[in-house]
Amino acid sequence: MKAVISLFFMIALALQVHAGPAKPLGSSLPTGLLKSLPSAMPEVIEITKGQVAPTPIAIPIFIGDSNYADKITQVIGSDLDMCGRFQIINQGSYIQDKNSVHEQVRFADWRVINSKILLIGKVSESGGKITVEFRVFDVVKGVQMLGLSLSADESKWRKLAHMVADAVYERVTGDAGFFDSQIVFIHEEGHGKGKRKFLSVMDLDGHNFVKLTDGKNLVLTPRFSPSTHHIAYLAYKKDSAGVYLMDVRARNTRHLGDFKGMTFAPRFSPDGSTVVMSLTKGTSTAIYTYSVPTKSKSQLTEHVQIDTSPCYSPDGTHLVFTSDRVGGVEKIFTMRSDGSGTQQISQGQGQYSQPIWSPRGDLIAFSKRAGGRFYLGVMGIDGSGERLIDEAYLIEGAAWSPNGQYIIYTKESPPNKKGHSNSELWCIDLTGLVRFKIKTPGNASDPAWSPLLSSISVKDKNSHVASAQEKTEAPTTA
Amino acid sequence: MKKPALYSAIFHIIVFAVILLGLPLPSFTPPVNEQPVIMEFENIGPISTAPVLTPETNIKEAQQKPQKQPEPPKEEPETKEKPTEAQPQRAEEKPVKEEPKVEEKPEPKKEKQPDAESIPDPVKKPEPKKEEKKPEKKPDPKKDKKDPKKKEDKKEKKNDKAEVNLDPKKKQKSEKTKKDSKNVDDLVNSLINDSVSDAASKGAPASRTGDTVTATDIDAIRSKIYKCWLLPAGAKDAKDLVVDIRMDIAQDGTVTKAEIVNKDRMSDPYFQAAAESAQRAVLDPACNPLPLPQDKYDKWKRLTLRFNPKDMY
Repeated sequence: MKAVISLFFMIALALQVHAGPAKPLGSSLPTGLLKSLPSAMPEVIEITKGQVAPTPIAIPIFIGDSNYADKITQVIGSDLDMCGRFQIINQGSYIQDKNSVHEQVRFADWRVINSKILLIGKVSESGGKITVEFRVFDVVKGVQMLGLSLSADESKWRKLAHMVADAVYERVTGDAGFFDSQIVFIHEEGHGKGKRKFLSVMDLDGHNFVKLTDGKNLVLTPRFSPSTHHIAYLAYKKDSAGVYLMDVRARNTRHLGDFKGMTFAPRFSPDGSTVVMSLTKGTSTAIYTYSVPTKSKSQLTEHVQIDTSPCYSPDGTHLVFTSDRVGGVEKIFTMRSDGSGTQQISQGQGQYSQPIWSPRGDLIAFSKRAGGRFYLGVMGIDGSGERLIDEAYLIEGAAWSPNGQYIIYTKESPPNKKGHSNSELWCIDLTGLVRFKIKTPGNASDPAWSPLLSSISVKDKNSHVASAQEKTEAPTTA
Repeated sequence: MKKPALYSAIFHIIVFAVILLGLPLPSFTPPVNEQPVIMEFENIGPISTAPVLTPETNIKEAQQKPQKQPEPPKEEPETKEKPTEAQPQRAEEKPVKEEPKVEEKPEPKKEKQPDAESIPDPVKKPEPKKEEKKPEKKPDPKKDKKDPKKKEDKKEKKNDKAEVNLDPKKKQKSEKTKKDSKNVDDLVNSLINDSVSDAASKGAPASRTGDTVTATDIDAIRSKIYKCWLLPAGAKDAKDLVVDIRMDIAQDGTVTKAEIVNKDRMSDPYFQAAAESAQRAVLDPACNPLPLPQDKYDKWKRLTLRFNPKDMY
């Protein structure tokens, strides 16, 4: 019996061992499952995550008795689509038609197709003048955001379209637009020894292309004056090379200052009264300024090393430039506009060149050469937060858009078997997320961006009529 | 005469011991098989702050839901008066996403535009309920998974009984194994009930709405608003563009009013753009109604959201 009992206990023990693994099941459960809801919601709930994405916009074709209604709608759509801040919803999915939307906007119809913004417009013609009346609606809230009427000569219908696009861009993003602007650049024809370079201007979308020089002399690095009435550029004429100033309307040019030595890389100050440039004497290059009204000169840096590519800050108080004074490698420096307070701001490895100060004042864009490749980058005005946003065989000649959101620059491909390379103008936004090629007649280089050509002064954002004043006069065909 | 009986008893005990200790016993496996199920609950069922409802109410809701589910999808194609090629397909494939777009908001401005009222009212009612029903779809299949396993366990136990001639001592042992597995089953059942009550109180399946694993109602709101808050790229000094939106919310979770709190900054065009995009985010039909517990309406009928892009740039 004792043996039986002992055997029974052994078996019971064995059962306990087997049953053991089942127990931890209960203890491994997360206790969080049984928490109860707090008795009250917090006063403010913080939302820190959203989507950086283009805003969906619907643009039904503008109505009106004008032939330009379709064309104007198309130019506006192309502009807003190109800039990457808007997603144009396909016309084919629109529910409400382009006519009834002017009588009453059925917001539910536009919400269904996931539109957030709605742009509608009417174009009318009379006596050689075009009038565009347009309205911008917030589809989600169901309210009008903007209503404007713009008029111009019939020949300027493209400009009107760009101004409408600028108004929509500004109203939705808060930033000024940039579509009604011009690019000055070097247009190239031919290759090798037969290559000719022409100082040229055109609209941002490639239309209204005009050659300003005859291609006989080598021309480089053109820059607009703030009024866009003048262009400063480097030209090689006969035996001399230097900075020239062209009056765009009069089409006359003059050599800027009687500098002894070669001047190059000219840029205007924000008020247009001063041209800052580099001057080479012997083996060294220093930075000088030239006053346009007084024709006086001033030296800002010493002739010890190579200081070049100066660019003003948007308030005119500082300059950014490159110098190889430290270690013989080009780095980026800033100084006050009188030449004092020089300090290095670039912190990375590699050769930095052609820095440009954003019109918004917050960033400096630059080209950089490292590891045999060229990069386009941006950094803070103290050199912090350096980001490289594009890379190519050759990148140079960057310029900011008037609103400081986009950069235009030259991008070159490696030469082919014949030794010819493609030189193109590209545009990229400061985040690097949006990029598009600028349409040029052929190879192009050294772009510079004009300021916004027109300003729309609006007292009340919902006013029906606004005066569009032409700030600057764009160069026209001779 | 006693000795042979004793030897026989001992022999029987030895044999029984050998069987118990030497052979793999299916009666011990169910707890092992049930472990993955418990772990699934850990992954999907969030750490909940929802109230624990009584088991009776859970059972009633679970029974009612399967009946109501088929109704809303049928109503959707009828409500669309001008179906394009894309829309009916959308209604069939993704009925949930289409609902908020079709549903109209009870805004006072609509009185001025009667032509916009193209969708009949009845559609509004089943929609919020449908969102509540969906989370319960998930625990239901799990419940189904559990039931066949339980049935299998019972079958196996029956088989054991058929194969081995148990004496009362063995029956005691089998009862013990039954008790152990019963304890585990009860625990799992209580977990199921808790997760069902979690989902019911939320109004929308957390794992379906966004990238975060929502554990609270606040996280559910964040997940929902995420896809509707569109920030413009490259905004200057974006970290300063913090916008407070004060909302009035209807009982079904739809935002009826979204007011910008810091209106004095609206003269700054950057702030205005940021504030309007925040307003659009909370009023967007694609992100309404908000997943909030119906029984706590008094707590959340007025809410303020602070849109802070600090993590975005």
